[in-house]
Amino acid sequence: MSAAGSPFSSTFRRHPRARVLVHLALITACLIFVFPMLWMVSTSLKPIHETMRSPPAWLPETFEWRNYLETVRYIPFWEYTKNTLVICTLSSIGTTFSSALVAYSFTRLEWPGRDLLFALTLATMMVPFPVLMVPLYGVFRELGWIGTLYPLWVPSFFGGAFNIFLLRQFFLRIPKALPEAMMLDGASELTIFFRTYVPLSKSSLAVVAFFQFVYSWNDLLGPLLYLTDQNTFTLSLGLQFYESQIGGTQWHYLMAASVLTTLPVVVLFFFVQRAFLRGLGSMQNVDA
Amino acid sequence: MQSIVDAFNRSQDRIFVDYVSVSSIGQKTLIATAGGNPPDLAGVAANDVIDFADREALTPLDAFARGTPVRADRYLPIYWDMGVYRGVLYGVPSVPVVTGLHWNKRLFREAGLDPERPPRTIAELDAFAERLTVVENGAVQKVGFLPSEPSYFPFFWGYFFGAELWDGDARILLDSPENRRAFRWVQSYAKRHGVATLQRLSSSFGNLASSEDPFMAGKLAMTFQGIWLANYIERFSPGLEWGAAPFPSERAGDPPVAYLDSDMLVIPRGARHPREAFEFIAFLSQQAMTERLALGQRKNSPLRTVSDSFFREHRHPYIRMFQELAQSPGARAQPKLSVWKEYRDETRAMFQRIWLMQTTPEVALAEAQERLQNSWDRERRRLAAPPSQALKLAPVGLVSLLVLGVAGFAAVERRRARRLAGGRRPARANASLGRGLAFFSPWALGLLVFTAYPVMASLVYSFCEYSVLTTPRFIGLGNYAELLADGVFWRALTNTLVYVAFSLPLGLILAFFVAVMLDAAARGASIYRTLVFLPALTPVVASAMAWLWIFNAEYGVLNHILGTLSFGLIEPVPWLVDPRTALPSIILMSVWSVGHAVVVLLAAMQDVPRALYEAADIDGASLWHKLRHITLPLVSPVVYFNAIIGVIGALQVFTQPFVMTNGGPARATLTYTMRLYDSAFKFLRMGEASAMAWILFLIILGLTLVLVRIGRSRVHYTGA
Repeated sequence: MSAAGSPFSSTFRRHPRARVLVHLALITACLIFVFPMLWMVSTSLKPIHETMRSPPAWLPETFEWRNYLETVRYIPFWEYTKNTLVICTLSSIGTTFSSALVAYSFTRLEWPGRDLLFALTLATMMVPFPVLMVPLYGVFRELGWIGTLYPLWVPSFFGGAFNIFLLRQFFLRIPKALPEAMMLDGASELTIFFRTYVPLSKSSLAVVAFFQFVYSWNDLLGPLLYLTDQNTFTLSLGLQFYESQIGGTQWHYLMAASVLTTLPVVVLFFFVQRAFLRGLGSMQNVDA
Repeated sequence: MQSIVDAFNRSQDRIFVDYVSVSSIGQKTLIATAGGNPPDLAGVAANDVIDFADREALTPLDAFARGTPVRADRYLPIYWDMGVYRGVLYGVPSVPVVTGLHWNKRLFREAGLDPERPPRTIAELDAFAERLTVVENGAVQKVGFLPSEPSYFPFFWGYFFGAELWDGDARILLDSPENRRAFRWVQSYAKRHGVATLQRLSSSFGNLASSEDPFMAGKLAMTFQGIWLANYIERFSPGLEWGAAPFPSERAGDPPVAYLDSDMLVIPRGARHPREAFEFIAFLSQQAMTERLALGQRKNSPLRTVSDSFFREHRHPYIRMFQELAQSPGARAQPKLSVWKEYRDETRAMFQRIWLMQTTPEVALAEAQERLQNSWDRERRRLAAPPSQALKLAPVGLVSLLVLGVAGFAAVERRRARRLAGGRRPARANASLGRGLAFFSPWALGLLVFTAYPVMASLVYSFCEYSVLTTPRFIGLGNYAELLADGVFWRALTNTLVYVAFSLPLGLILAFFVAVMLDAAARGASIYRTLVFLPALTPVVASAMAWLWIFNAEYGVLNHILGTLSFGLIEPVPWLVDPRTALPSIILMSVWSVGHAVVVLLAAMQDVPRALYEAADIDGASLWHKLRHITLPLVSPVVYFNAIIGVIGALQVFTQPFVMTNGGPARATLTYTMRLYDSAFKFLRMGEASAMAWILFLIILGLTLVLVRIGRSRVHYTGA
């Protein structure tokens, strides 16, 4: 990353101190952005009487690590984590794989009706979830899936409009000469797909998978609609349920539960950060 | 209850009852029933029985009840009647309640009144109230009586003046001479004390479940409360000297009027063991068991005959009075209207307007009467519409038409391609269609089953009365008409539009400037970027918790920071508690998670050719000019794309207000999707919810078209 292309270059040349100002502004911004999370962590480590102190102390006087043990004991944390992981993993595998296949059919292959169906696909991005909510509930009810995890991951195996769109944008940049050369060697479409498109677009596939993972991890409305039994709750729903039960008093436990819900996504992000940010940047040159 | 369940489990060995106590039971039972997985037996509120029965969510009990002690003649008629809807038995009373006047004897004595003699007419009540009110230094310290306390029965006052709420058939009877007298009486209290005084006074009143409740704290001398008050007095104000009597009526000598309610046992439809569940109901219905349950909760008995031991062992000092009151010919329950929830909400709003002196009782009653009569007329038309199985197939038909249309279009396109190729079949054409469809097939299924069918089905349902459990009935534009006439719908829509109008532009502007600075900061940019992105990663429920805590009016850190930064000049803000600041608070929180837009914009900015800036430098352009005329136009496609996606997403905002405020206070943060979720899954009005969904869809289509139009003239595309 360099400042070469920045509109600030000439300003920095003339006033070297301006650079310091920009950094100061950024540090302030970052502090504001990160503060709520730090506050969450700080509160989660305070004993209850310290949370109810005015003015509040920035850091706990005594670090109450037990809060986490208590929280994990009070809410079936591992059960919730397991359910959430099942949904997130299956749905990100499902949507990445199926959306890539479909995006391939929309870019590499030429078949009658393709462009019409692609337009339709784009149009479905405008359909709000509430339109689908009621009839989908009926469909899952007929299937006997209410109260199970199925409604939360099975649909992702049938692709998603936004993901198809993103992957198509990326596939369009892959030069046509490559698959054509393989074609002459007698390779099948599946071989071309797996040997060239998949390896060449690893980072954008990572973006789609990560997006879906985070989406499923954060989703509240879906689990709220379909999960009826506490044993099948996800972390988000469990956290909401926990809050509605204990109400607004035991903030130290609530914050501990929130930290536990947030931590896995943040850790995952640090692992995929590079691929993710690269892929995201490259896919955003939208000329739709 | 647990002890009765244990007794039942011991009494026989075929059936084992597992007792689970949950909050908002009615709600959960309904959802579980709709989901096809209900409990065998549930205890719900009396007015839920009507609501559920209306949506065919309950098992009729008449057949089970034959030959068991569950008989109408054993119960007090009003309680029994709560379980009967349109002549069918759906629920059996378990623990009933009855309400009456409670008075503070010490305050009576201090005011020079006989502490053993409660008022016997409304006029006497007013005179006593006047004497019991204590004003010191211009501030009301104690008040004799307030029709606004407690707030749960605003609809009931008319009964003490001889009014009715409904004629049992087609007419709503809210606007009657009796109700007008009653609400003039209500307003007379507001006039006597003044609205400002009353508001100040009531903000010092606490919950019923606390020692700050005005009656228990000795600030209110007389109150209209249920038999349950004794339990609270013992817990929160054990020293209180109090009495209970029937609440006085306008005319002396009329039979005492009381409000009756009850918990009801019901068997949801689709329960796996209805027979066994009813066996438990019959077991509980025995006099000994029913009385044991009432004794445990210190309530009255729903049965006609009451044993002597019941009165002897009962720990409520006024049980005989309450038991008699429940048998009075003047006893009343909530009307069994399927629009009762709406009726209650409407009378509550009407009461508020009268109480705050915003209008006269005559005007308020006439307006509420008109609205409720309209909605009841609509409901009756809706109930009269015949159910139709064909409506269930209609969406499938529409989807088939869509598929045929696409196939037809493809065929035409193909023929044209063939013609262009000179009549020959283009080589590989068939193969490519097969391959294309093969790769496309997962999405074909997704498109059909998870998108096209639901879209069509919700369109069809939006013209129907439909609760997953019943066959849809066609009612034309009924749902749409009802929504457009519904104040809550407009409130939810306005809230949502305000949210979109502020959170989206604020977010994009902030994201733009942060991205500009990140673009300029060579060193450390990736660390800054990660930190700015973190909030966007935080699960919405978790960040909602964090902000709930930050916004907390009492211990919240935000008020502390603002106070410190302004050297105490900024008064603590009641962020989420005050209807005026609640929605802005949620907008503020949403702006915090713009990390995603920042990252995307930054990537776009780094693609801006450096030469452009250099050329501008040579021309001596200012920093602002470069941002305005080079950076902004070149990243505008990204801004534009994010704006469209953002509008669609923000219009559906649900989680933050649902978790943080549940739409409150006073519906200030009720969003469109929350309202839709409530109608669909709280009230099982799936038809109405579908109509709401389609209105949202049309709004999104409209806004997207407008944005596309703006985009054509304003967005700068390079190359393409």
